[in-house]
Amino acid sequence: MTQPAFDEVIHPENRLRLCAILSSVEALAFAEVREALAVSDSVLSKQAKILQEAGYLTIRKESGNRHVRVWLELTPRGREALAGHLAALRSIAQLASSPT
Amino acid sequence: MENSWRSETDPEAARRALAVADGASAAGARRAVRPWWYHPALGGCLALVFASFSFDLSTPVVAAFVVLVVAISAGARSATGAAPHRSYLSRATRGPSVAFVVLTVALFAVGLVLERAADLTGAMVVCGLAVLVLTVITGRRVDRASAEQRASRDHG
Repeated sequence: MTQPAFDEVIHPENRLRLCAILSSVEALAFAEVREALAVSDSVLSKQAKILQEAGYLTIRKESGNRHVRVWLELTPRGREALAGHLAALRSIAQLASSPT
Repeated sequence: MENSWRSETDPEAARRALAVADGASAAGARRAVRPWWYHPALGGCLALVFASFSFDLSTPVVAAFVVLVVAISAGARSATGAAPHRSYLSRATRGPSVAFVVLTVALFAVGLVLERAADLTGAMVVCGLAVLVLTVITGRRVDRASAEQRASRDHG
């Protein structure tokens, strides 16, 4: 059972979406994430960098035949933090519906 | 777009954030599909290994098998831009995964006995084709079970 833990790093909308989309996969290519989130390269790079600095995400470059592909992947710590943050959000959301 | 919710204690904002996270997670899951050729290619590699025992070519084919599997996995990742979770031993996927291993070993043993002991030429080829079909069926079942498990966890 994940303990609720509100996470200020994850909470901003674009970072929450980025973490959530990466939680469904082992890793996702930068271009796929950008397309799925409908954000610009610079926005995605900035948010990914912040998550990387927090130790929540890894950015890995993979050389192909003609181009370099960038892969984004949540770290175990990032997955744990996201689960805790979502649990915290669920707790907050339930406050309104709980009888007082 | 950036940070449309501020309060840490506003239930309405929390619900919106959860809905956004659910949507993003579902979008990720939709992208985490393997290309149609992934499981047939893996099954084909296994079938080749089986068949190699019919033609006394097992040593080079088994060595090539590892290289081929790595290449197929890399090719699938490159084609889709996504690396799905490898959840062959989760609660939902353990059953078909274990059944696959047991059936593959059994087919190998049966094929080898028929080929070598009963002198039935081509028995390993037939068993290899059966493993190819088994790989495709199991692979797709495991993928589907993984996706369902993830969806139920995300909405749980």
